[in-house]
Amino acid sequence: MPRPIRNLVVVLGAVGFPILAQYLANVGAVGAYTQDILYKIALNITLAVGLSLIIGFAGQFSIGHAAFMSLGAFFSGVFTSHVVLGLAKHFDPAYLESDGLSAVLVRSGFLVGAVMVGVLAAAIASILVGLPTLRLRGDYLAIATLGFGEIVFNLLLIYLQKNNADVAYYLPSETNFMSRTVNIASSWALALLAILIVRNLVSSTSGRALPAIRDDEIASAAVGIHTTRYKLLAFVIGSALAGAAGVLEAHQTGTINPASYRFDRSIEMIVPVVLGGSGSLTGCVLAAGGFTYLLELLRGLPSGAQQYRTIVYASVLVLIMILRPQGLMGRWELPDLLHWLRNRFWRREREKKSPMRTAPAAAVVPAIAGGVVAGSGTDAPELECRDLTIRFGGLTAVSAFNLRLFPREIVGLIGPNGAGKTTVFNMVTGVYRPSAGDIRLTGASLVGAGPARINERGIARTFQNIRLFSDLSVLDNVRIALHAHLKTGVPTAILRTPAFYADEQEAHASAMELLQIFDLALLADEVACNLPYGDQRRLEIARALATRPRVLCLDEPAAGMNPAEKRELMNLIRHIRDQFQLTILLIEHDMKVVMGVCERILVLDHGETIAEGRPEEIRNNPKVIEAYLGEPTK
Amino acid sequence: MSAGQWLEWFIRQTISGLTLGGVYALIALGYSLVYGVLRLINFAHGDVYMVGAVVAFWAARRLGWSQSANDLVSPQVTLAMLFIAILACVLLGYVIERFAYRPLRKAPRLNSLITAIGVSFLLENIFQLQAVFGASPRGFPETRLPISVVKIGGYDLRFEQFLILGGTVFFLMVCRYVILHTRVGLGIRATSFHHDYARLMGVNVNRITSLTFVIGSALAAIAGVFVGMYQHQCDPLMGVNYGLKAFTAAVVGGIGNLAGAVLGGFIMGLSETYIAGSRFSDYRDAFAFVLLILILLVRPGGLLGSVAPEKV
Repeated sequence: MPRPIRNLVVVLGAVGFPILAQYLANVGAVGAYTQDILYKIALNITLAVGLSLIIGFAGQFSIGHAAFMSLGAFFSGVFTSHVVLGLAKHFDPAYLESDGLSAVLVRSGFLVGAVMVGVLAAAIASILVGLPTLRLRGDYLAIATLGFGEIVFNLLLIYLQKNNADVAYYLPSETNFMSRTVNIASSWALALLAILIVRNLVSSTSGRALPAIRDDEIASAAVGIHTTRYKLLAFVIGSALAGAAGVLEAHQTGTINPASYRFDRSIEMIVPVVLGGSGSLTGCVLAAGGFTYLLELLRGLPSGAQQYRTIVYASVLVLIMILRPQGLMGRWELPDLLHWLRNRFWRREREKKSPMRTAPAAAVVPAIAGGVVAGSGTDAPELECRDLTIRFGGLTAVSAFNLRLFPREIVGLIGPNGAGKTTVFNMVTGVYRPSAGDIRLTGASLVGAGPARINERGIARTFQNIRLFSDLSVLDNVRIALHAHLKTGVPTAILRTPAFYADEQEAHASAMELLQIFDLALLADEVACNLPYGDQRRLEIARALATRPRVLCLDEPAAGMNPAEKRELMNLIRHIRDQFQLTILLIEHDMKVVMGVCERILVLDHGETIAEGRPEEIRNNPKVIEAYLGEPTK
Repeated sequence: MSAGQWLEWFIRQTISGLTLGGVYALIALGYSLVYGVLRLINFAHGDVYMVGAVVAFWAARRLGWSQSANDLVSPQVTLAMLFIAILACVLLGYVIERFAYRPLRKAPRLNSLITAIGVSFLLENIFQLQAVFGASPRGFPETRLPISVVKIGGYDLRFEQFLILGGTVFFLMVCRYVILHTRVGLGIRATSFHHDYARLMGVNVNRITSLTFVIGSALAAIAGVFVGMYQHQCDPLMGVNYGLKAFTAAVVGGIGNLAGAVLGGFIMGLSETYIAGSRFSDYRDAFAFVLLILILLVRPGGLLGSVAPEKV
């Protein structure tokens, strides 16, 4: 199906299904019991999808999610009781109660207003909670959301007791627009909207920053992803969806009881996300729908068995976690599932083997013999470190490090283990903040900027212990790194405008071009962690190049490579320098590589620069020999 | 309020706060110990504490307590109850670790978190069954003591309160001794630092992890019995609120840091009783969590903890 028609079908379905379902319900084709289940399924899908964005895709634990639901419910409830009730006075009550199309539309309009208020309340609250805690890695969001849930519950309870002398907030019956005529339409419209938003986001190049952050936060920052911003985006969208669901629940039941939005409700929301497969949208939708239906079935049990309901529920939860930790769907999405089903039941064809690489590795890269003349000393330096010093507690890891890197130079940084080489890289790329000294890129200081910002300014790096996004494909690894150079952002990705498709195509093309250079194009769909070691090293360089840097820092690129791969790597380094007009700073232990490819070498020992010069000078420098081999015996 | 009245109020609230804080500290140590070795928020820990109180209640009935509020039990019976509760919780803690958490050691952290929550729900709901304990609170035996009240100014403080405070301090010291001066303690500290390094140094990480749960559960059982004595009742959901507060205490002090857990416990207990005794008493629960978020903002690693930078 061509794309415009496919999109049209999706939109028509998303609009048409809720209206059709509602129509069938209102003419009596769907019974009240089924209506209730349909409404609950839609609500739980909305909650699960929002949470799946936070937990499954961005990898952040929000375990007080029900609080955002209660905020949405409460603020929209106050809004409808005051504002909407005031507006409704201008209408004839009999007209508002009627089932005519225009009356339904007016009621829907009121509901949309309430939803907007609820979404706003939840979104603001999520920014307040997320902004301080999402900067940190680890369980802090979990702890903060847990505490936040209790705060919201306590404050709402105190408010209600003081103002209404009750433990719940009751909406006036005039504002009960949900329970009649639009309950299924509104809940399913919200659920489908949630699915569309999250799906469009996570399947776009900018949205793939989220699984990248989940896989490796440091590597994400190193390719220019502003990690806090993206984590916050996921958290706010997920929380806003919970707020919207809260609005619907409040207007369906007419009651807002803060006690029903406590920790156990939050857990109820997390369950389908984990059961369906954390990181699978399809899985969490299926699990949310299926689980809601099953729980409704369990309600039909005789009353003596009711007390065992939660026990069965909790046992199933623990057992599934132990027996199938990846959840029912793992990370499969609908297309993967359909593909598997088709192969399994219809065609029974053998699975297509992924194309193996046939061409010998060196064929694509032209071997450029000899060095291109390095930039002369009269040029302004591309990268300059002045008296760069860093102390960890009492230990000075690097002291007064000076470096001037001229355009299109390849400079080696060598020294024994623990000399401080990687620490220099970490300061230059913003992972550590230097205790003293300055780093300048084409004259502008970089000190104080974060890793993502520094990458945007034009420095890219690879890591000593490869840090690929190991769960993502080879192509995605490179595509994510292009993310700062996309013309369109998250809003376009969600709305899927024509500009988005043009941008995606361009990203795909440039990523493939890079993979071609590194001879990885045939492996584009392979998961990164399945690649052999040498390919992973080269993929990491390709990913760094995708950020279009001026300066490339390679941390032991030849580590773990065999002699043939090392020779190939040397050609590759010269080749990319020439093709991309790069300046390269290289840490390496393999002296053949260092001497063969570098035009200038700096030697570090115990954090101090002990020598600097051309390869042949370094080779014969007695201080260097001493640092590596110890003092000569006399 | 006159200065004298104020001082009296202050002393009274401080003693109550220290008692409450000590109980929080005992539970918080369990959270912190387990977090240290497994990086797991053990949500079931609050329920282990509840089981401690419930088992002590059962033990008292077996030992002839008539379940009426007027029937006081002798100090020997109270000690026996404490002992039996510790045994039961140690066994429970061991079983939970062995069969629910150990199979998930290598799985994503979210899985262990969900499993912990599942175990917590399971315990709470099993004990709510009428055949097991029932959903409503039951009375907890009061101990017959030579002194029953202590007068401070014009106000009576129950002697039990001082007993609990003394017991808490004693068991905290025992825990401190175990962690700092025994081989097991050394193993726990090594395992908290790094599983593989500890293994290379000959530490049996699985055994140490089990022992960590055993120690944490024993402390929770003690806390359960103390709270039962103090409140004169126990119920299957008593672990929810205390568990959450104690966990907050562990985070405030710096999760994984044992001195921090104790400090956090006392801070939470004192601030709770001071606020409860003032005109803002409605806000005492909200305050605990506001304090938590404020401390996370200023010192993300907690008061005594630190956030280690990741090695690149």
